[in-house]
Amino acid sequence: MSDSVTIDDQTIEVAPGATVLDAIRAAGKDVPTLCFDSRQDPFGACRVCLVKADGAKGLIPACTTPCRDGMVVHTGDATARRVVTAIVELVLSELPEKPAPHTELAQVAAGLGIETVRWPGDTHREAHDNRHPYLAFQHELCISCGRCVRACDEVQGAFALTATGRGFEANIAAGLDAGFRDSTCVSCGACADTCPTDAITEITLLTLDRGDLEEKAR
Amino acid sequence: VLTRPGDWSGLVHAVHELTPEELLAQVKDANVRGRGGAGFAAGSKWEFTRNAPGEQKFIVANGDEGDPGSYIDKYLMERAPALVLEGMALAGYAVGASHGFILTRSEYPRSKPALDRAAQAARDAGRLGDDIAGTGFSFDVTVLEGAGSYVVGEETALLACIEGRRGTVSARPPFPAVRGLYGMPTVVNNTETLANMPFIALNGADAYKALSPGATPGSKLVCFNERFRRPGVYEIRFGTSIRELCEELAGGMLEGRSIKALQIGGPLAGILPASKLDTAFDFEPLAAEGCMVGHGGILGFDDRTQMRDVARHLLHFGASESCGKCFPCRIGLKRAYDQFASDEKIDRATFEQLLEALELGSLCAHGGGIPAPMRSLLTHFPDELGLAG
Repeated sequence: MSDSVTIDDQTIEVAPGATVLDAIRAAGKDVPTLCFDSRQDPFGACRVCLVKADGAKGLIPACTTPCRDGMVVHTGDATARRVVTAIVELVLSELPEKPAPHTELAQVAAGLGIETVRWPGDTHREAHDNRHPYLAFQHELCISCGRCVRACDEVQGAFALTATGRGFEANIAAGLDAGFRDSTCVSCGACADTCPTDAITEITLLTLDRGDLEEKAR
Repeated sequence: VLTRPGDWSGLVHAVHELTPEELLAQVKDANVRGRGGAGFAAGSKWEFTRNAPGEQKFIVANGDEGDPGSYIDKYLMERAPALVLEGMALAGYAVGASHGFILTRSEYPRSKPALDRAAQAARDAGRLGDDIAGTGFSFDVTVLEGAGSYVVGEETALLACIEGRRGTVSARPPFPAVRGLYGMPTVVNNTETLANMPFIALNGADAYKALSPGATPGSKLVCFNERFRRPGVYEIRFGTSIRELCEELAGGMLEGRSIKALQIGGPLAGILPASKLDTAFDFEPLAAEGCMVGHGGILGFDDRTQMRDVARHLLHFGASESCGKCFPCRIGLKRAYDQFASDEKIDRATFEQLLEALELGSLCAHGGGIPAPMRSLLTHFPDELGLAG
């Protein structure tokens, strides 16, 4: 049993239960994502993988939508590209600075050709937490994609991280917002590994970046 | 039909005289459209849940009524709680569930006590609990209070809240009818929707349809805000003209004032200008005007109201109540509000691009719905919005 799905001009067979994103990637195509990590359950929050499917109302998120037999998906739909570009501009507008070039967010923005944002406004307040020896928070870079929380819950099973706040104030916290050290964190680093913006980083990388490591080595 | 206190006669009749299949058939035939806002057919939800595999199934009554200006569910939960509980038990009988949860708001301090008292009275009378009326059917309810979130009225967020998790929205599918509360097939119905069921169980689908000849079957509760002479909850027939509702039932605006516009059905509904008051109160005629029946709250704006203030207020509500999960709603509503909160002129083209991203990009009807009243305002009151150019 398999479902036949058409991605742009290519028809492929996918296993039952496959998502539209699975099908798009199996067809050798791609759409941008921000809250998606293939090691985790799809979350459907960033809305950057929106595509058009024939017969479906509006746009559909590729990551959480299951394939149906005979589905026809358009990854390059003009409305979808317009909406996705607007959403990524909104994400850039909430950060106090441009994302570092190595981050997934910067790469997604570059892929969409975004250089300016149409809706500038308040950005997240700077809030750094360096109390843990290996893991650091830069809360102002958090885009609430939930990947760190799911890495902690689903991959490591430590349940140390949680989403906090709502609306524009949404962010992340370790434990009862008392930092990684006073949480159930096991220092595995899965959160830093999956973070698309450097909101959580490994301290060693930060230090390398600052050139402190060479200093210490001497 | 909906404002009488429940006496459990519908349930007693159903468990003695109807099989669960027959009750489900009556509810489907009655074509009960959901009263919470979306208007989805309740009978279809029941059927999906009944047919979904699962040893345990649940009934959830949504009493998290957050629409500003709506107090219909409050009225039902406090004045006719037994009717709502009876509707839940009927849903349980039809789909094969033995437990229900009803979630009301912490902002309604009288609702939970009223529901708890009604549930206990029903248990004492043998209408809830094990082996109801000696038929072998068992059903009981748990009454819960929310923690102050508008979006928890959305069904997936409601289920998360009942489970004790953050009240944020999840992607559908899976729909609650297949994978709902604790992963089990679950009926989620608005309290008013459920309050319709005892009448159908007792009198049948034909009697229900006869309540509103030629229009959406059954009756609807509507409520009016304080700008009207006689604010309150009223039970009306679908198809009645909105002018008649506003002028005859609610007595028109207060002394010396006239209606400038209405917002019917909640903050995510389009806005109806006074020139369209002869529209019929029903799903299709309102949809044709970019408006909706929604949950049935009727907010009247009088001739003193500045429509830019209305836009700013709605966007403030939207941004404050965004659950923060999906990106367009989390950021976009704040950006839209900030524009209207300033004294700056608003560039119509970029505002409309933002509305498109909200409408087509958002995960649920919160971010997806706010563009509807904004578009009405752009259509009917562009000169009042402070647009550039």
